[in-house]
Order: sequence, then C-alpha cells, then structure tokens
Amino acid sequence: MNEQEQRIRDFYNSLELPPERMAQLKSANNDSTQPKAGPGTRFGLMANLMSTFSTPVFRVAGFATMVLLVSWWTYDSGIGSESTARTFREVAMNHTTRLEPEYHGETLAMLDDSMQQLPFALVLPEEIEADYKLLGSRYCSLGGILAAHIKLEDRGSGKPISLFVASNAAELKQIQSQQSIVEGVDVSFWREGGLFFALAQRSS
Amino acid sequence: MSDLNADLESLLHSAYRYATALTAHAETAEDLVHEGWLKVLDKYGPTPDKPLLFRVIRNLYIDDIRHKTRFPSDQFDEVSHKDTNSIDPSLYVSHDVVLAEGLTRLRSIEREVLFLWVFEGHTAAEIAALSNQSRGTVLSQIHRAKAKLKRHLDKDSDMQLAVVNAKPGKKGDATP
Repeated sequence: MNEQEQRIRDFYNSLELPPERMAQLKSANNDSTQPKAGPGTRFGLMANLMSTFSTPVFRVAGFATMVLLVSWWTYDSGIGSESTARTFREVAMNHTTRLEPEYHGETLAMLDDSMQQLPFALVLPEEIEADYKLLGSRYCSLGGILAAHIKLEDRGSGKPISLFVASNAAELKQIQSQQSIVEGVDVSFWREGGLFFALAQRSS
Repeated sequence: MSDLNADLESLLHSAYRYATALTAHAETAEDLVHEGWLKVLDKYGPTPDKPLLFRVIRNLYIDDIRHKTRFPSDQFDEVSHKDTNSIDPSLYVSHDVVLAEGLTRLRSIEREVLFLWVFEGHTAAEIAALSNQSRGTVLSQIHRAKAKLKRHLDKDSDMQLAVVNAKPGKKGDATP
C-alpha cells in the first residue's frame, strides 16, 4: 500500500459517528423488540422478494410476464386447435376424395396382415357396429403420422364410411375427443385401446 | 460492552464512513446512516448485514440526488450546504483537512469507488456489482480519483514548502 492509500485509510479510520447519533440509533435498535425477518432467514428472503416485487419496475415486469404467459398459453392452445382443425380437414378430404383402397379383404385381420408398415395391430373400435361392410383399406397420413384408412359401407343406407386408425403418437396428443362437421362431412375423433380413431361420413 | 453492541457500533461506524465517502458531508452522512438503519430495522429487524446497510444507504443517497434534480426549487436544508458536492471540509471530523478537501473535489462516484477499493478492500468486480457499472469503468474511476487526489496533495505540499521557504529564519538558513 502506498503513502496516499495509507493516508486515505487513516482518514476514514478517524471518522466515527458522533456519540449522540450513535445513542439514538442504538435506542432505535432496542425499540425494535422482535427481530423481523432478516435477509438471511426464510422470512427475510420472502420479505426481500416481496419488497423487490412491490417496486414499480417489478410490477411492470410482472405484468409483462403475465402477458407473455397468456400469449404463450393462447399460442399453445392455438397450436392445439390448429392441429385439430388440420386433422379434421385431412380426415374430411380423405373421405371425400374416395381414393380406391389398396388392400382388400373380408376381415379386418386380412387387412392387418397386408398393412405391414403400420406400427400397431388393426382393430375395430367398439363404436363401430357390426352392420358395416368392409370394403378395403389404404395407407394415409393423419397429423403427419402413418395411419390406416379403412373403408366401410353402411349395410342399411349404403353410405360410405371412413375409419382412420393411428397410433396415439405425440403429434395427435393435443387432439381431444370431439365431433365436428367439416365441408359437409361428419367427423369424430376419439381414443380407444391406446389408438387414435377418426370416423368420417357424409352428414345427413 | 457486549459483543452485539460492539458489532452494532462497528457496523454503524462503517456505514458512516461509507456515507461520508458518498456525500463528503458529515451531517448528511449522519442523516443517511440514521435513515438507512431505521429502514433496515423496519424491514429486516436488527440484522448486522453490512452489504445490506450499504446498499440501503446508497439507494437513499441516489434517491436524494434524484429528488434534488427533479425538484430544484425545493430549498430544503440548502442554507447549511448548497449541495452534496460542494462541501465545507471543516465538517469532517478528521485532522487531515488537506485530504478531506482533496476528497471533496472528487466526484461522488470517484470517492465511493476509492473508499470501497482502498478502505473496504473490495475488488473492482465487487465494486462494479455494487455500483452497477462495468469493471473497466470502476478501474478507470479509481485511477482517475487517485490521480486527482495526488495532484491536490502535491499542490498542497508545494504550497507548504513555499510558505516554509518564505519564512525569514528559513530564508536565512537557505542563504548563509
């Protein structure tokens, strides 16, 4: 330490709070009977946080964070609803284009044997009643993943019906069980036995 | 005197030195320590947290400066001292009036960093964190403050030397 620094140290060392002021502060110290939450304690941390977050800057920051969270939530649910709407359109389009089935068979097991690339075993959901005639099946895409498009015919009315089966992959996880009419096609989504199902038929 | 009492005294003296470094004014420094300590007591109780007390004092000082900038017509206490940067060095309770005068010629931030660096022994990085500046700025402020102070002290030594040389007895010694 050089001479100048030593002089500065000596100077500040010589400074002391006047005794009267010290006495006042000590008295104020004694008046504060119960130690309030110190910054090192759990409550102190809380007090620090509360005091910090009660400042105008943090109030604005808090509001901005809330707006961001709401925007994110809206965006996120928007993605969900967008994905749902896209899948609705996909199902309706696949049903209305009436592309010829690639695989034919009288039983679902026969179709399942033919569609080796599906990462799941084809099964008919409980909701499909027995009075449907199996026409055939083809591969298709649903929400970006490989799915089976099974073509059926209502034995009573002769109306074509499309059943789509996909694994319950992450791409489809945001889609809730629901029903909607898209471009005149009645489409419904649901999950069963670990699979995602969509049923489409012309709305009457 | 109990250890607790001694700790409190030591803490308040330290706070007073820091406040003096900020304001370069004894009474203002006393008031700052008083207000700062009451604030700490009110919020956290009697906690001997030196960095916390320093922070509170610094914020109070900055608030005060801002207040004076915003409301220049507010002549509160202006009779005793025109502003915190034009100080009567005699208000220092120190015998080194020359150094005290030199310190008053520094900017507030220069006095503060010099105090924290030389007296409190903080590193430049710690001072930078406390004063919300870059480390480089702090180092340059310390350098500038030391240079200014050295110029002031050298000038004073030269003047004293001149006065000594001007004394008749000394003059006779010098020219036999």
